[in-house]
Amino acid sequence: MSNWMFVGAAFTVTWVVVLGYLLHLHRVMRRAREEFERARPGRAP
Amino acid sequence: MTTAALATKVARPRTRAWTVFGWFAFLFLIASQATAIAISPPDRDMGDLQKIMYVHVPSAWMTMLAPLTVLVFALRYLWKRREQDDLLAASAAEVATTFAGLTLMLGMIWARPTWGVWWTWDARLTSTLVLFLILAGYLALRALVDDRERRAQWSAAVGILGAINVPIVYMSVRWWRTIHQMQSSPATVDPAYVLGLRLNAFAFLFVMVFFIHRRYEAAMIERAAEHAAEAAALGGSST
Repeated sequence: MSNWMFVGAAFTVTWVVVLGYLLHLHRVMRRAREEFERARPGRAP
Repeated sequence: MTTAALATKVARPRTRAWTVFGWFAFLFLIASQATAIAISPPDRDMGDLQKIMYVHVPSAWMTMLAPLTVLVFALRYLWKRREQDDLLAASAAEVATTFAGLTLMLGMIWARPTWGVWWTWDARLTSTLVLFLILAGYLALRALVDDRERRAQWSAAVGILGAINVPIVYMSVRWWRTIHQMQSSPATVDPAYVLGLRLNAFAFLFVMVFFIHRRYEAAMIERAAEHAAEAAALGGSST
């Protein structure tokens, strides 16, 4: 493997982790908002 | 303001300022990486492998900074018993775990072509792995304990334990004979690499702050939903 392949792998892993965590946050946030909307007083169950 | 009131307040309006900050953080990260790759010459010994420094070193710094954030809010929780501090500590711990995992993976990618192995039980690598495992234990503990107060107290203790490991990780390259190089900083790297390292350090810092805030916001909304459900159940039982 050439040096650039390791450099490319490092930057790819970085973006996979960063964007993966961002996606996780997006899902957690959406689920939390849905739960809040369901549980909010005055809303039908 | 109580946690319930604050959580309900957080849950309603979408926080535009933080969304803008998030976009800024990610665009800054892209620009920083592009700049660092474009302006840095190949290293005399490592050649272009040196460019891994721009992701590995800032990620390692965040791996040490995030547990210190956990420490601050864990201590504040134990002192003031405010639920918000516990949620902030937990948010920082989740982000710290992410960066610790990333740092370990990037270290392995860098180690293979420079040391000839993916992993070695070097003091720096081992202490970072221990930190990662403590943080993972923190998250597992929170998932397993249902009682809020007990969960907050126990996880604060584990968070403090993780933070105690940070100076050991930082000093490991000085305290023991290691294959890992000394700490990288603008004072120890070649001037040609300082700007790229500084830019990426700030970019990772902005991303980390955004992540912690976003996770905290989600945790507050989860808590608001729980409070609303409890209030609805109490209201229903009284009629």
